Amino acid sequence: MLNADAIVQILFRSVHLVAGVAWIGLLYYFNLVQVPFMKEADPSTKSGVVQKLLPRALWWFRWSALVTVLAGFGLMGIGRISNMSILIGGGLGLIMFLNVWLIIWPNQKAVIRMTAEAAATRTPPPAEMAKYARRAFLASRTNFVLSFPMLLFMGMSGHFPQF
Amino acid sequence: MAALTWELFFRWGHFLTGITWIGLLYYFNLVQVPFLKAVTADAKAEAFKHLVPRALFFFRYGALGTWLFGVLMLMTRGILGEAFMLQGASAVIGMGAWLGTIMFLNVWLIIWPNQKKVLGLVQATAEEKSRAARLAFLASRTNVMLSIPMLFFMAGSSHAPAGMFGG
Repeated sequence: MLNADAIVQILFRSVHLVAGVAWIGLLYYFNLVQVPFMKEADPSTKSGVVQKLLPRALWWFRWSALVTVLAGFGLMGIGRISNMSILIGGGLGLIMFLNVWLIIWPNQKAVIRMTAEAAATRTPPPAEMAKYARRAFLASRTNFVLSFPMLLFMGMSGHFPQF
Repeated sequence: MAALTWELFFRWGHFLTGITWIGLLYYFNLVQVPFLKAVTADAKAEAFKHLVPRALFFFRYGALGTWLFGVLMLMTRGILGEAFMLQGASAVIGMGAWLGTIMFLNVWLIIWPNQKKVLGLVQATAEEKSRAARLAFLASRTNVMLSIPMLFFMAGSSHAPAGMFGG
């Protein structure tokens, strides 16, 4: 009994899981591993991480965020899912997604650019770089906090539709 | 209703720890491995001293938490035995659980003991270290491959309409 709708739904759900794990997993990496590490690291190590590690991590981070959201919308459409849980969970996810593309990424891009320029000219980075770094950090910390209720409602949606 | 509430709580824990575990697995393979190839010996030493140990801490305890929450969910539903034996409708989640269990054992029995040698937490000669690094890398790469079918079975498990996978 293989019906096309069910197969497409499972494929979308798999993509949503893999991309979602990559996105939120990297969010947890930034908040639980990289931020504490950067506090302890010396300036040259920090500069190396910002130039060579951060761009790659942010590439996977922002594109997996996009794929997660698209697959999520696909799932809601195909499965005709609309209960209170998925509206809350999905709404939180959407806020987090906008946070990634409109706040975290533009501010991190500025930090990466200024760090690279400072390294190339062997001068300290401009003072205003701290402002961009701070904004990206606060948006990232916000997403970290939002991820907890978001995942609770995601887990509820498919399994406790009565809520 | 009480069982449902417990299951929801375990599912939440399973999500949080599972994302931490597999997310860090993806971080190691997609971000950290290429990064360590691109940097100087000094930066590499610094990363091994302060960055890698912290990531590995969340990685291995994330794996433990994921596995425990998963077992608790199957127990709450009363299908632990069926899933283990790949019986009936529990065969789908059973496949996911088996793949996850293999990955979990891979973390604690291969990746972590070998990384301890690489990090210098366990005495090892230079030759042993490079062998340990290679083994840890291969086990980690294997887990990335396994994670795709594992997540497919997880996605299919409690959502697939009855009978979709036969049975």
